[in-house]
Amino acid sequence: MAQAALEKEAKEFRALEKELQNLGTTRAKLLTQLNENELVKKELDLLDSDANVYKMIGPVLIKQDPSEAQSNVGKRIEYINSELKRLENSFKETEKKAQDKRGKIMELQAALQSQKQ
Amino acid sequence: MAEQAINLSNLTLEQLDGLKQQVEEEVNQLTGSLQHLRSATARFLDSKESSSSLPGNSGKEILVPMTSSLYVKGKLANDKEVLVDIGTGYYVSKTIEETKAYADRKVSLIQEQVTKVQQALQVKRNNLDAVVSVMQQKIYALNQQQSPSK
Repeated sequence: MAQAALEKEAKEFRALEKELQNLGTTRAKLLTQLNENELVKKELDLLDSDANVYKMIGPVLIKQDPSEAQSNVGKRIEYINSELKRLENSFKETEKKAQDKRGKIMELQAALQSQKQ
Repeated sequence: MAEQAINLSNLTLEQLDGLKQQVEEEVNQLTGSLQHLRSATARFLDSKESSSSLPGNSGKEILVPMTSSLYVKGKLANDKEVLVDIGTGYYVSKTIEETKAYADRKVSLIQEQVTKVQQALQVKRNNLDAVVSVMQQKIYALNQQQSPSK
C-alpha cells in the first residue's frame, strides 16, 4: 500500500519537475524578446522626430510616427517585464511544491524501509 | 550556476569523467556562441560595405529579388537612403552615413559580448585541463599499483 502511495508521489514530483523546465524555457524566450525590444527602443530614441519609421505588419510596411513607435515598444517592454515577474512567482511556487513533494517521498521511502525490516 | 570549490583529487575516475564531459559540453556551447557572434559581425560589416557602394549609382540597372529564384530588372531610384531593420518588425529610413553609424554601433555591441564569451571560454578550458590532468595522475597511480615498477 505504501508502495502505491510512493509511486503516486513520485509521478507527481516528475510532473512538477517538468513544469519547472517549461517555466525555465518560457523565461528564456521572454528574456530574448525583452533584449530585442530594448535594442529597438535604444535605436528609436536616437532618431529625430522627423525620421521615417515603418512597422512590418504581415507582408506590408506601414509608416508609423516615431513617437508612437517609441511608446509601442515601451509598452511592450513593460508587458514583458510583468510577464517575467508573474513567471518568477509561478517558478517559486512550483519549486516549493517540488521541495515539499521531495520531502514527502523521502518520508515514504524511509517508512517503506522500516516496514521491510 | 554557483561555482563550488570541488577538490578534484577527492573525486573518483568515474566522477571525473562525468565532470570532464560536462565541461567539454560547455566549451562546445561557448565556442558555438563565439562563431555565431563572429558571423553576425560579418553580416553587419557586409551591410556597411553594400550601403557604402550605393552613392553615385542612381539610375543604374539592378536585379530585384521577387522570390528566392526570381529576379526582375529595375533601376536604382534612391542612392542616398536605405531601410534598416532595427528589430521586432521595425524599419527606419536612414542615410548612408546613419546606416554606417548604425552598423558600427551594432558591431561594437557584439564585440563587447565576444570579449565576455572569450573570457568565459578561457575559464572553462582551464577547468577542462585541470580535470584531465587529475584524471591522468589517478590513472598513472592506478597503473603503478597494479604493476609496481621494478
